[in-house]
Amino acid sequence: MNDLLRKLSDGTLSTDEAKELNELLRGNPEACEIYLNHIALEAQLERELGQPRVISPVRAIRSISRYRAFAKPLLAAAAVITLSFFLWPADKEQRSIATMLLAEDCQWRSSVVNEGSRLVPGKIQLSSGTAILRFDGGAEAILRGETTLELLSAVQARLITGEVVIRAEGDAAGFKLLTPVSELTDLGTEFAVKVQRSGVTELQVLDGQVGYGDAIADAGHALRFEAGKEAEAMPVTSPRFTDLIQQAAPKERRDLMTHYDGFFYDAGTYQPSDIVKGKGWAGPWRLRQSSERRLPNEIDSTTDMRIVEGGLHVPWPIPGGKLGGLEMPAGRSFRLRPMKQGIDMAAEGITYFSLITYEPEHGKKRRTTPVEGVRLTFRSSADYWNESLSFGCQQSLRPLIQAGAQGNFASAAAIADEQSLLWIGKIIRRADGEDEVFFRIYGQADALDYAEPATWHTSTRGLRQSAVLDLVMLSSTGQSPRIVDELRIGPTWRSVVPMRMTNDK
Amino acid sequence: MIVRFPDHRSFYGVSENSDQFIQDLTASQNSLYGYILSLLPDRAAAQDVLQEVSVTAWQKRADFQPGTSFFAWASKIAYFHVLSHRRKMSRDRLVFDDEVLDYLAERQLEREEEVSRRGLALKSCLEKLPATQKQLVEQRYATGGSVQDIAAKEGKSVGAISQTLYRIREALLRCVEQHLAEEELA
Repeated sequence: MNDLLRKLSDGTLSTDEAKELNELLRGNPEACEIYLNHIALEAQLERELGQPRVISPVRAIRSISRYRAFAKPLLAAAAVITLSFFLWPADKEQRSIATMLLAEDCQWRSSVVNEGSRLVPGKIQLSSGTAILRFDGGAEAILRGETTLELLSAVQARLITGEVVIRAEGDAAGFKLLTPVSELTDLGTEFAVKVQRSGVTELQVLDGQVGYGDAIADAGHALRFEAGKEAEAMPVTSPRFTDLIQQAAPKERRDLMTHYDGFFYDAGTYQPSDIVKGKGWAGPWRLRQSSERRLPNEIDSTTDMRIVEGGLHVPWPIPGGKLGGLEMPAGRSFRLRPMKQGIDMAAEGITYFSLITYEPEHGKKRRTTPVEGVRLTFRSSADYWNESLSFGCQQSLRPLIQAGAQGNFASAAAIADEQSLLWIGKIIRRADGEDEVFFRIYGQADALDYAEPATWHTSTRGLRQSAVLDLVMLSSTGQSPRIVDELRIGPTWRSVVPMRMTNDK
Repeated sequence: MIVRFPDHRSFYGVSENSDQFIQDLTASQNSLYGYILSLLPDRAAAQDVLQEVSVTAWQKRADFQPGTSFFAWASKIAYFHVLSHRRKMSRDRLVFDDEVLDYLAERQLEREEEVSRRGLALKSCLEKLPATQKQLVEQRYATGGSVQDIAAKEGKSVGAISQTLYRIREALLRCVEQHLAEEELA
């Protein structure tokens, strides 16, 4: 019996053994009790130690109310469908509460957490290395070395063992860190916590104040908590948050870039088929075929590609940005380049891209047809007109994501005009569940950080795509020429975003 | 610049009755899962069925009489879902015949309270496990964890890991039993 239960638990019970188990249980209440106790333990262990399943009726009801205005008769059906997601959500449907910003030399005891990943409630277990994550509530945490942190919500986590430094400034104040001996509340700043295996907990307040129990500890104070004892003072030894980032010295990871075109040619006019350099492409640039044009009169103004030098002002540390760029002429210009490996929207993964653009007097133009602007679009060669993702900037200077039939997502805020701009996008692809796309346009004065920003200009909602987007299209329409340069695509922020090396300073 | 507020900042009202129902349904997920797993001892299948049961329970929520046992009501739904799931399974994957299945289902109803006490005891027993054992159990019962994966990761044989896990489960069971016995004395 024990052997059968062991195999049942391991998932290796054969058909014959299943029959044997059935025979053993039939008419044998004692054996049935043993079996039921075993199953109760299995089920409880699974529910206790598996990833927590967040059940969020509030969110379920909320999603329904969004449809209420125009879909009253469907309300009941919608209730059932949305509720079913939340009562037993597939892991991907779980609400994300944090983002992994940086993983440097990380070894994980739990499953690997890639940079850029959205994190759901549950434990992350680091064996070695430095990991930085940002909670959606705004607090940031640095984990170093062997550390287990349980993410509870966008504003709360539990440190089970190891070391973290938390920075929770401004709106992020009020972040709660639970430890074996005390509940620590950030009152607007920065603190370090270490939990030893024995449960002994050390708190070091690096800036501002931290609340614990009914008391408050001020900056420059450190306390050691042991169960059943008074808190003891100790010296502050922990480095500050920014020092730790400096120590980790995050570097650009151009080596991870999957696709690249820097338009690195001498100034002049080329045939698209001559623009062959770069990385990750299945062929050179090309014009649209007739099946890829919406209207017969949408013929391009020119059939060649012009490389210019010096048209961009590039404050970012990008060598290629100074050497050559693609000038897209006035009128209509559409150029496509096939990717070797497309962006598979049906697969789990994250893709970032960046692109430099310069659009003279973009915001000052009269509204005309065709619409003024440059766009970067990802399409599928297998089904050109179906799913796509397209990025650009409206004439009102608001960044915009277009997801074909699935909608437009425009920013509420406008960007600066008359500047070279750095477009950065993030595409979170999910096999099951909602895909999420984020887009931000950086002006010349905006600082680029070692990791993605907490806020983007715009993002998608309710997006679900499944095509393989394997065509990159750069298009420009309107009255004046525009320049684009440095198209980068890769799996992480650092693979596509230019960064100054820390030792440059 | 637009700031994306996390979802929790905007709540909408939920009516009191459906709120209570959702709470009941939420609270009984663990016992329902245990119920289903005992009749259909396959993790993936049991999870699928639990999801179906939750949806059906929501659809039939008007039939539930407040004040009566939610688990008893929902487990009936679960029983029928297990039967219908069995009909779809190939014969060689069936584990229990009707006689055994019915006995187990009936017995589960009587055991409801004991099982929840076992759950509570297990929590404190887990805390008492030595760190290395606890880590192993955590890996095995983490979502998607398996003996095979652990063996590959640790560079040990599947048999060795299986045996260790078996011993840990035995120890946990003994610890749980002891807790229950002590409770009865108290």
